[in-house]
Amino acid sequence: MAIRSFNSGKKRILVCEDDEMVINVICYKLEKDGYDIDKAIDGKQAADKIRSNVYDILIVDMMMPYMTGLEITGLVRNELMQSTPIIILSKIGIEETILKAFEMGADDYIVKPFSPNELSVRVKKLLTLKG
Amino acid sequence: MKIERILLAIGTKMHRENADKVLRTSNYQYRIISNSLDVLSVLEEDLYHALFIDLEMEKGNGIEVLKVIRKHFSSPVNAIPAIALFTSQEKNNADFLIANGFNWSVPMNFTIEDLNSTISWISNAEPDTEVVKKSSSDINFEFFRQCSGNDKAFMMDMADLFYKTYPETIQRLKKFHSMQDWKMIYFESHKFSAQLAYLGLKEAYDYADSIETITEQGFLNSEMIYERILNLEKSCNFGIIELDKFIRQL
Repeated sequence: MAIRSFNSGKKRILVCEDDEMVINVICYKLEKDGYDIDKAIDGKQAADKIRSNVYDILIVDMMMPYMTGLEITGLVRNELMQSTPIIILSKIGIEETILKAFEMGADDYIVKPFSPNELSVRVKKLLTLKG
Repeated sequence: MKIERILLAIGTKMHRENADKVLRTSNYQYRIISNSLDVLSVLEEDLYHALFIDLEMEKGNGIEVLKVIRKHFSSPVNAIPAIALFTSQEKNNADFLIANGFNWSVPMNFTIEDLNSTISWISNAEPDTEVVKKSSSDINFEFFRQCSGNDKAFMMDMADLFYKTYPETIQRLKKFHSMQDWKMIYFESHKFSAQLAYLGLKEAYDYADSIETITEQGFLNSEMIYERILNLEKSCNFGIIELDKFIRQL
């Protein structure tokens, strides 16, 4: 499958989240920040998009239909061997789950409900770190 | 909420006569009207506790009329329990009706038993004074305002989205409860609680969160879970009215 890249000059972010309200809140802020946003509303759609497009950062909800955030992280790191920064979103803030996400290769972990401003800062920081 | 006064809007004479016959045997005060425009004028002048409305009337069907009530009337009229009257099974599409603001549906040629069970359900589903009192101190929209960048239009879009989707979520929770599908109740309440947290509906969040915790931990007291689903619904019914007021004041 050919991988599609984007040439808008903007950093491209894939937001994988099945809750319409949460995805709207995230996208509203990140679009205002000037990013090019793509959305996936379940794990399967997220995997398809990741396989066929190039993104600068992935924001992935932990609990989605078909594939969890951890499974998506595993797909990116182990199967596709990509180093795209991944931010995991979850309502679950227990240490064990957070550590598991980092072990799988996530770069950041944010507990819901989070401020979109906080997410914005974390996105910016990760993009800077990854060049 | 105690239901005492009922407004019925029914297009066909035969069905109006049936409704009148049934209501005469009940203790409710009622008024039966024959077209949708009258529904709006009657509700502007008089207080009713429930509205039974024909889906297919002349001069605007029941769905359109209810949209106007929900969107343009002020509280408490805009939250009046609405029961769709349908003539054929095809019209009794629960998801569709809930998405359009209805709380329940009954056949057009309803019986006294249909009426009583509907009123009983509606009475339990509406916010009572106790919940309203408790909810007032458990709502804080500041986080929502912050998340929305104080953008009124965006906040209204999110409130509309919530208004459209929360009855569907509650309906799914009830359906999964009737199927004793605890895993799906866990999943739904987990997702729903995040929405409630963003909106600042703390009491509703607490109910959703407790349903999530109970079902996750396998503490499966069916009655307790159902009671919390009903409380969650009451709290959301109240919360959306408060949210609407908050946004209008911005």
